[in-house]
Amino acid sequence: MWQGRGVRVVGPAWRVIRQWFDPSDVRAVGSTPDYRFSLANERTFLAWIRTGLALVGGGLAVAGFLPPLRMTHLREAIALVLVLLGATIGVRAVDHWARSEKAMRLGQPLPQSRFPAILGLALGLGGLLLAGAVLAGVR
Amino acid sequence: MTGTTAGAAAGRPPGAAPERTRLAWRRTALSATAVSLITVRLGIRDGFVPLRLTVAGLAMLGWVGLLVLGRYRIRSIGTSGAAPGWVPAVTATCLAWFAVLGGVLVVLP
Repeated sequence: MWQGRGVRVVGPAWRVIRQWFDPSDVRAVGSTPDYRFSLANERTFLAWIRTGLALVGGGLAVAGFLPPLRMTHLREAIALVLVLLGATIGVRAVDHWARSEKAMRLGQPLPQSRFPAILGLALGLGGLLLAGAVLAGVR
Repeated sequence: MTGTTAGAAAGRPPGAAPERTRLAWRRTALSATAVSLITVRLGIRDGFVPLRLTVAGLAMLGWVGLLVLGRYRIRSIGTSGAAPGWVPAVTATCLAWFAVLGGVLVVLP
């Protein structure tokens, strides 16, 4: 999560987390960018939150609507993976939002991230795996 | 990007940016509502088990939080695009809350 190049929020994890909730430190650096850029950053953040909500909802739907699978705890495992992935996306979204905000204030390049590529690959592979399991009759 | 009011200085109108952001908050609240309905379904999956219902009810606080945040932010954006401040952090916390209690609901016997 911390591998993105460009601006990096330095300091121990608790300090970074405190900055998310109290962004006065972030607001002290650089200059306020055109608010349309800030609003675009906020919309990107919200799009990630909805992605996280979709995964959490998908995981809960797996647990709530599927009958228990023959393989012990397979249903619960699929549900938990999706729900935890959703939570991870939420935390990563606020981290990326804060780093983008800081980069815009300092006039630096926006932080790059491998997270979308990794997430896309993981979801694609997971989908293929489940499709294979359905076709093979694994329950 | 260099000035406080680069857009205004250039004489450009605020355009649709505040409106689009308000709509993004509404979409997010809608998504949260869908997830909360799925949470209710998971809560009553095995009938009316008090512990499951309690956890589902606690998870719904995440939904209430997201609705309240959306409402607050939609009002605070106004037409000037005030900075969101702590709102994104609390939004992510609500999502994590949903996920943690939903996960508990999944593993509860």
